[in-house]
Amino acid sequence: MIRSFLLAILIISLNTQSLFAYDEVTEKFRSINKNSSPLENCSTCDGAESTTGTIYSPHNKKNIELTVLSEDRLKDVFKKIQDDEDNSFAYPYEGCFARAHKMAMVMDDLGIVSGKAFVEGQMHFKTKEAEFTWTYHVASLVLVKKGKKLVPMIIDPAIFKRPVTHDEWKAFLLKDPKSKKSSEYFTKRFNYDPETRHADLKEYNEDEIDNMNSTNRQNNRNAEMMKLADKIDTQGHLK
Amino acid sequence: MKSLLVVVASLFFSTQLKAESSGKPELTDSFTDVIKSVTEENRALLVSFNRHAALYKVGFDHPQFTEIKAKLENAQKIDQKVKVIAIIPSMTIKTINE
Repeated sequence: MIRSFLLAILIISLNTQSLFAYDEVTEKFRSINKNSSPLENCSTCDGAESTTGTIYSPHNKKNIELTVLSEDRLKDVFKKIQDDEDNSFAYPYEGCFARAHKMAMVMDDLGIVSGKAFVEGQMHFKTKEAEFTWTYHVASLVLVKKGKKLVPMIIDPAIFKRPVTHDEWKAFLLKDPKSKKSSEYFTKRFNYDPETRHADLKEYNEDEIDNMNSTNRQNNRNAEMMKLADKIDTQGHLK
Repeated sequence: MKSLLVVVASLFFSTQLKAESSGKPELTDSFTDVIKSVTEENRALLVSFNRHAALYKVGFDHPQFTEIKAKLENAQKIDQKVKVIAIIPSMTIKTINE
């Protein structure tokens, strides 16, 4: 009786592990470089991340080096990013490029080398406010160690209230039956939009930082205006 | 006489519907970007941009449809940035400036 019980527990635990086996992801890993320096110019590095991993992006033929985080550390990082008032998570309709760039810079300050995950195609959504379509979407990419595997995780607080796997993120973006993907790829954190996907950048571009700041400011204003619009009528009177 | 009444009644009904559906003040966003593609679908022009991720539309019923279409196609040919003013969150283009 006890043996069967223990056997059942063992089978359940093995099945649970297989849920995290992400075969598609492991194909994309080329190497894992342990104990390399996460960032050369980091003012607030605390040594919490001592491992980096490399993810391969077949579409643009790039190896992207990323910091490997623990699951607990990822939760902390997500919270810090989510609390960044300069980012425009409240206005998801547009500006993913600016949000992803700002998230990358917040992670730089935390000593974390992040990347970006892009999906291009037609992604349809219907919220209570509107129906809209994205031609691409981008969010922050990090690696998380789960058991012996490195799992690509996405930080996208405009859509999810928690970090999600790259697979879960893509499934959400392509959930509508009319949605279709044309390509997907990863880039370094410096690449701002799909136009730069093939560029091998070593630093942020100043003009793009300006664009990031103005886009996030404007989209935060848009979010505030939308909240206000719910409360007033066409004549400007409170409902 | 009867048909005239029907026409008047339907006009009244459609105006009322429009007023009900636009119960909120119109909000607009503006940006500059390079046009990636312009296509026609379901009586609207669908416009995608290099950087901005949303698909923007211009309905055939837009009063300046012909003018906007010409500006979009011209700017796309020469890879010129355009300034877009669009109604949010429906992502409907209101004006285009080259």
